[in-house]
Amino acid sequence: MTETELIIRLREGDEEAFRELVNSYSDRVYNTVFSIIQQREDAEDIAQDVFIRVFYSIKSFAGNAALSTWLYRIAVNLSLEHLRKQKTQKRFAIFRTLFGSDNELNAAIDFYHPGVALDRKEDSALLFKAIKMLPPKQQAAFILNKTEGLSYTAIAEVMEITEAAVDALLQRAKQNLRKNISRKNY
Amino acid sequence: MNQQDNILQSLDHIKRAEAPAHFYAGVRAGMERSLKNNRTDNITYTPVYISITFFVFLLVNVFSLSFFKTHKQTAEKQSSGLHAFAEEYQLSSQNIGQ
Repeated sequence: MTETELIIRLREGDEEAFRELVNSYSDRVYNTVFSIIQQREDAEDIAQDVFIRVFYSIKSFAGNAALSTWLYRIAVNLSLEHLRKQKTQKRFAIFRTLFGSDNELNAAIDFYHPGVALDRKEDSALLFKAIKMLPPKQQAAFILNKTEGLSYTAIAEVMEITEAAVDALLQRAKQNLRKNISRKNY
Repeated sequence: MNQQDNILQSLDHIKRAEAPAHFYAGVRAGMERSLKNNRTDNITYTPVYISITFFVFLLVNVFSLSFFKTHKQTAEKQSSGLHAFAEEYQLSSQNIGQ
């Protein structure tokens, strides 16, 4: 089934087409979300939410970009939104801890991506910690480039920015990562 | 190559994390959940529902206000008629039993 046929059938509410969409793109979406969120259960929920949103909004999909671009865009936006909410919750958690009502102030837990080679496991855990400290856009661009292997052009389409802006984002991300790693202040 | 470069390059040639086996079932379950939520959301939070509720609320208030206003005027008219009658025949609470 070609992408155009898939989109037509999805617009008709075809369940088989939807199953094919999920099967074809679930790994890409899950990997993106998982690498940004760095938490298995939440990543699964968010990745599933991406497909639910696609199902209900496929009629509004203009078809100007590839389906994968649209899926990556939703995945990145939902993941960053989740991180924003998490940050707000953490701020409140500090107050709750001060007043003794919450003892679970998130300690930084090491994140081990299952796709990393064993000999690089510890280094990648340090890198993922440093990635979490990056500003959201740099984080998204870096993850799309490193874990999904997207080109600058593809990242530009997903993030709806120019290729030059992607280049600048990645340069800044690398500089910040170097700083974070050398300071080890995470 | 120093330690910093090793860390920065640790994601080179990373393999994609695979979605769990029950992923599609989870998506379907999520869709059913969102459909249920949408049904209740549709009823209570749609602009049409909010407008109708507000309109009914406004209507009830206007109706009760006008009802009490006319009721008060009729009551006043009735009592003024009774006063005129009492004055005409010089009735008062003291002489009414005599």
